[in-house]
Amino acid sequence: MNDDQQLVGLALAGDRKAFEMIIHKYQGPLVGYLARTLGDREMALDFAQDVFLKAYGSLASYRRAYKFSTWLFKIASNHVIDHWRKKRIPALSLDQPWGGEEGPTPQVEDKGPSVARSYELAELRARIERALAKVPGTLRELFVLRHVGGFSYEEIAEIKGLPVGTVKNRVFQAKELVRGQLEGTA
Amino acid sequence: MNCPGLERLDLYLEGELGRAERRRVEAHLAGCPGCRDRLEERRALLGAFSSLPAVAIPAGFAEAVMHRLPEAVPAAVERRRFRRLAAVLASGGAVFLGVLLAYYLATGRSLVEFMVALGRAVIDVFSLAVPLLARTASLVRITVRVGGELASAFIHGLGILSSFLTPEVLALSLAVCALLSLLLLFGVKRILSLGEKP
Repeated sequence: MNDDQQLVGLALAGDRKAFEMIIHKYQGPLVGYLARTLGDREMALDFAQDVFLKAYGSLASYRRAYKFSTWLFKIASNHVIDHWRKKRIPALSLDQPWGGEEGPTPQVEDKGPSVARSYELAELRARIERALAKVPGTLRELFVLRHVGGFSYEEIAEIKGLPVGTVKNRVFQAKELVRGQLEGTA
Repeated sequence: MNCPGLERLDLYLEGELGRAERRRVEAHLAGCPGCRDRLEERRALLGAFSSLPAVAIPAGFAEAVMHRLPEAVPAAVERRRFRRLAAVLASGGAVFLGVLLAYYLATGRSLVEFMVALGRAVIDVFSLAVPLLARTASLVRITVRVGGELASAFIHGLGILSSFLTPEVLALSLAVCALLSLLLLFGVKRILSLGEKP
């Protein structure tokens, strides 16, 4: 049993402090994921509260065979999708090939010297944030889970209920869209 | 081997390729300066992606969430109730089995006999207790009704009597009543304490 599972067990037994420790542990990654996926920090903070409340409400249904972080981010991802549906924000279907049969790579011209090596890190980060905001939400979410949240492809597949191969392909598409934005060619 | 695509280079950098595939890519990289350069570009790009700063969390965020939480995990409350009920039932069962065992050890009679005897005892107790309880309840009900009517008639009579009397006579009557009550009280007390005298 890992730390998360111990804390969940204590919370289920009525120890509210244990759940507060869970919040302290995951508030940063969760708000980071929500803020970059939604593109709105204030909304992300509200959503993060809702996600923790939902998690607390359904804590008894958590199964220890799964990682707690995966379970928590699945709740968060569903919350985001519900929001997009309610707001009728056009979202790319992740189940369907994107732009072609092979789920092809956006055609971003390789301009030689890497954009990653052309800017100072702070400037590059700011450009990535701006570029990320222009990537379709569903691809952006996968990019954030992988490269900001640090989840493995297998964990993302579990969170999103997609095959691992599809996740790898969509994350790559998202990266290429970001690179395209950075290079001003997409 | 042809030059690996960018997706394959990314997966190589992320350690996502199988051993055989990784060796093929490495063998290719060893002889292809262009791919080595692209690999370093991808490494820098992935590094930049992963270095995005954390989003600031306002102080007191966790406390705000805790403030909105219900008192207990909803399903956990039901689970605790179920566990408590199960514990009570298990304790009752354990006590019952203990009694059975003690009876068997003390008398040497079989458990079946004990169960039959217990069943009979329960039926006897019920057959005695139920009519007795019914009669007691009936008696209490009649007593309360008669007592209430007597008290009501007494108060009504006093009201009628007081309307015929002047205040002086009424005060005198109350004093006499109080005196008689005291005498009655002490008289009863004396009667009751007669047996205590030598």
